[in-house]
Amino acid sequence: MASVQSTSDYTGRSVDIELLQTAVPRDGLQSLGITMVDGGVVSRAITGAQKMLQRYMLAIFTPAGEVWRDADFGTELVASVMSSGGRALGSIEQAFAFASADAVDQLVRDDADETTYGPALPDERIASVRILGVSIPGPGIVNARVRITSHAGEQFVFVVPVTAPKR
Amino acid sequence: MTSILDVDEAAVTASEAVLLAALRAAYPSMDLRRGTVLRELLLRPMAQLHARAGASLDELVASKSITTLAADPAATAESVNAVLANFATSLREGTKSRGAVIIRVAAPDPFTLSAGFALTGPNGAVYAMSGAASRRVAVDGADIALVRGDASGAYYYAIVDVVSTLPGSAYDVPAGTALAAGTAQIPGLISVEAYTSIGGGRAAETAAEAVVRLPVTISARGPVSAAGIEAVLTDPLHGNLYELNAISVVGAGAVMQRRGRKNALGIAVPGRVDAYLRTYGAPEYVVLRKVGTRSGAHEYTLRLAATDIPGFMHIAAVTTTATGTATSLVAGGSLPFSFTPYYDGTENTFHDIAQDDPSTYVGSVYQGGTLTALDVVEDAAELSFNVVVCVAPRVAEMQAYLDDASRRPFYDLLLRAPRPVLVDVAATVRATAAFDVSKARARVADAVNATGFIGTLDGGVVMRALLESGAQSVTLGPAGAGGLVLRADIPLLSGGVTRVSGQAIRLDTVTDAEQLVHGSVCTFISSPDRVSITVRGVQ
Repeated sequence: MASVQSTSDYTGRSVDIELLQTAVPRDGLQSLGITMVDGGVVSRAITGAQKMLQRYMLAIFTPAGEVWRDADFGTELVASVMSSGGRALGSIEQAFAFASADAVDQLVRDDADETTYGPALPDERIASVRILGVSIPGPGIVNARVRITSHAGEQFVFVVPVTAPKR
Repeated sequence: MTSILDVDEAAVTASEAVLLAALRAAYPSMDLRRGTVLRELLLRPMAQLHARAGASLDELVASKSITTLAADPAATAESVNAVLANFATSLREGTKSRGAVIIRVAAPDPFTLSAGFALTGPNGAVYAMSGAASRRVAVDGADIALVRGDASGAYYYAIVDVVSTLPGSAYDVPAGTALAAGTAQIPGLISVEAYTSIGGGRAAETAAEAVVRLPVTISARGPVSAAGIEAVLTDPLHGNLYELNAISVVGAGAVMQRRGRKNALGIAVPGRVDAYLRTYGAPEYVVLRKVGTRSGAHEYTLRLAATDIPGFMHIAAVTTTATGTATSLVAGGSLPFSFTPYYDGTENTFHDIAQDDPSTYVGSVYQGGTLTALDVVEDAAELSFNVVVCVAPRVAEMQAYLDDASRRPFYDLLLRAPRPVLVDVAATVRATAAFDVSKARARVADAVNATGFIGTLDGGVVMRALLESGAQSVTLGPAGAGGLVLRADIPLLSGGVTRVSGQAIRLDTVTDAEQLVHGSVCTFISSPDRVSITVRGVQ
């Protein structure tokens, strides 16, 4: 496993606030849950791939129609999984595939709107999402393995979350 | 705006765009794309609150416009009054229908009407006895007199003032309307019906009506014009007076301003205003029980004080309590009589009134009268009479308000009841069997009574009422051929009567300033008893 370069220089980047657990900077697959950052931890700014992953997670797990007055945001993933009863693996795979495509469409749409949101750098724009596998290890648990590729490809530098961005 | 959920999506979307642009301008490094925490947890709630604040602001602005409020069915009277307060006025409150009912019973057994005594009329309208106390009804020594209805003693009656429990013209009913006494314990009850028209009801003013009234109210308030005086008399904040169905203000120099000409030269001088008020929807009648003194063979004289007959218009009927029925307002049910008005005022009034000229005070609070009942069969030194008097209600209350020491003197404004023109109608109509003659008669009377100081009562008023009652057509042409005829009796101050008839009644043909006969001071009055309708079936 090759090492990944990292930096804390936020110059020219747009930032978000860290909500989910920090992705460990490495090349390859890693588990990324929707666990919130621990209470008591000082809020940190994130950008780049970390921000991209967080947006994807928020989009795919937000039930469509739940955001008040923006019913288009989110996907049907949670509703589909809940209605499946955790037994029909095929239907969950299918639901995940649809939801993932839907989430990516929504994120890409905003990425393309530079007039409103400003430019999005290559390492924070999703290029593709490939579902590697979905499994049900036990009651009430669904695991999904997904490969997310940004437009930076392998040419990216991991920008570590910081409490005060350095410019 | 009570909840953020009331804000529509378009408003939230617009607010989100505004805030997004503002945040981006101030903090270019903020990533506000969808899915970011900043967008989902910061910008979105901000946008919702911003949109709600905007909606509340819009609501506030709208509540400051009387025309906007008028178009909003959810606007409250409080909101409307908040705006009207800027113009020193407010919405007029509704008034309840008032009148008298006659209760007929089979025997002279006394009974008590409880404080909650109520009657039910058409369409579920409820009328309560005026006043808060219970009242005893008996032949002698009672709060309300129980009177023998005819010589044989077949029935007895009592007349009770009632008021509707709710305001609104929907509670107005004509005389003769049957009412239900509900669970009231009245021994030997035969019937209850409206003795007089129960009228004067008016719904509370709406914002839309206030919009129409406002220009006159704010532009002409003050004793400078007829409209200004009308505004003073009808403005709730200037005395909370009463709705005027019609008003005629007779000011300086007007032909009928008799008080302004009472000087040696007979020259019209300003400063005196007579306001003739039609304070009733339908004419109202009060029944006085007065003792008369024998003044000649079969002739008794009764003295009516000014306080007995405030807002006097005319005497409708006179009967003795021993033999008369006094249950009908028709002239045929009355003894013949003569009536002479007299001045019955206080010495210190500031109103300029010529005591020897009834045309300067008749219909005002300073008018009393001497009534002479003729052809009386009984022969006793004193005799009790029922006198049915048509009055314009509340004239005395309004005059007292205007004459209050805290307000006068601003000008010599004397309020007066309209001079009556009593109208009989004879009509022939073509109609089907479903045509309800009694309702049509009431409708015709109402149409006549609804006119103001118009000077001319055209037959068209009657024709329209008949057609609206279901008549297919109304016969025109000469009276002998069944054509529509209006006949008017105009009581004169001198005691006589002027009669006019035709398909229209034009007062300008009989104008007489000394007798107060003129379109500006006279209103037309009728009643179902005065309307005769002949029905011919549709061929």
